[in-house]
Amino acid sequence: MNHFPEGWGRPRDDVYGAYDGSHLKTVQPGAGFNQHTQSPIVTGTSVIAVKYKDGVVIAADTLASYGSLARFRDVERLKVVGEKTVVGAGGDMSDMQYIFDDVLERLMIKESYSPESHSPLLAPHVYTYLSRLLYARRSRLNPLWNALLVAGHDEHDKPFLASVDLLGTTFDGPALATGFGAHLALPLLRKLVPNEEASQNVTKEQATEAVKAAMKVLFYRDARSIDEYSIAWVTPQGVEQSREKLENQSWKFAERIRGYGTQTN
Amino acid sequence: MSFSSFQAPSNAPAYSFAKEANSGFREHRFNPYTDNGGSILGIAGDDFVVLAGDTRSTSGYNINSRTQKKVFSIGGYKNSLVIATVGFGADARDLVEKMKRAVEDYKFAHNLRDMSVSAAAQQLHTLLYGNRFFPKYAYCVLGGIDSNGKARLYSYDPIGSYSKEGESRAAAGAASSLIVPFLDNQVEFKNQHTREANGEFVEKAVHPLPLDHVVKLVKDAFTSATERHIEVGDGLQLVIVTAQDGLSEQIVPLKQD
Repeated sequence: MNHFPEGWGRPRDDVYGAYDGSHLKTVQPGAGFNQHTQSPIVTGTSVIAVKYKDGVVIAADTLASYGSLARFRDVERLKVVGEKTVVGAGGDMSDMQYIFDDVLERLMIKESYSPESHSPLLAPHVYTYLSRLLYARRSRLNPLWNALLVAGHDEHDKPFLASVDLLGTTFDGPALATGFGAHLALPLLRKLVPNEEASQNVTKEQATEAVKAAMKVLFYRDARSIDEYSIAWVTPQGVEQSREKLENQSWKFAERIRGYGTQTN
Repeated sequence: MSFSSFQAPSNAPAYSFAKEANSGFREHRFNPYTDNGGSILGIAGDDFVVLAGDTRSTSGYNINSRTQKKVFSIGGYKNSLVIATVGFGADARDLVEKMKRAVEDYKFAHNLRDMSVSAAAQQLHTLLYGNRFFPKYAYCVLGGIDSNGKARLYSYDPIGSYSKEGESRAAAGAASSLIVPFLDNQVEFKNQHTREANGEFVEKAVHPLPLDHVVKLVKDAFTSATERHIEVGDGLQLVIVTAQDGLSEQIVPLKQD
């Protein structure tokens, strides 16, 4: 008998020639090995959103950074899904493009083929789908390096706002912000809407004002932000979207600041 | 990896914690886990079980949400099965979804019979141990009423260890080290003695507590934990399951600081 265990159960070399194990190797000759995303490359910064009486207002600036280089200055990071949902993405921009242009487009096409009586694609559906996708990807150790906010309505026309990140961590609230916004914008937004009940008494104007103020604070203090941003209002009637440029910035005080201590002029 | 990050061996003392800095190479890899803070607690009485959890979800020093529930009803025998779970939020949520599904599937597979507490307890073990080498990083407490109308409570580690005998009390999560000693003393009367007529001290006899007393203990446990642990607060979700009245839930406000 063959005394080499590694040969057991294989065609005999003396009869069939040497065993060709090439197909067993995970790395095919000539092909590169699978590289999973280990860190993001081109990135987008915060997305912020607030619920109000009739809907949700969501905003994200238009910058895609390459490290500390402000490389792409006109990137839309809000995506309208169906008629009544907006998804905002921060984190890796190529993963965002995969989610926006591939995953969500496919989802919308599939939905449009289902019968008329079928209940329409709403924010909670899009959110569950995305949170499942992100959790499945992290569980395969090949994450989509994003933090997403999903804004829209549930089937009772109540405002819906929830968040999911690259680990599949999910949570919701009357005001949400990703990335730097979680540190800087969220405390400001929570002053307006400390809880769900408070958000039901907030008008569209109040919510918009708070979001615009928060976007300005983010531009002041986040080194990866830009002074142009997209903002969208989601109501049961549909989505209204606009592009804004920051106005009335406060820099006048700077001319009175001299030196770092004792210097006076 | 660039040459600039390479460091030549130095004569500095080789402390174990300095190893990484001296090696010159630092691998940066994706970490699939995180901790979302919070705490849970369960107490079993004679014919009722109370499961509670705070409603805060954290990420580092940030508060993700002040209203994230940790206790879930999953159906089963007399709709009495309840799971509380804490740790990594995404894994915790996935576990609850899988358990809900398992309880539902059990019905279809067993002639519409509802899953018992002990069966659900074993199912949760199997589910957790099935992920032995990529664990679901979540601590679970499972409660329910058995076919004799008696309360059952089980507690698990992330890879599924649990006691089939069940527990009278269980706590897990960020503030478990603050809550467990309190429960040892107040539920199991540990280190409490009573004086007999002959002047001798004997251990205080353990007896099941009444529901209103248990609810008081749970509220006290969480207000104390809120004071001394930054990841606990915002709201207390209290779920009570009784043999007679089934399931009820209330949210008690906790400090938001």
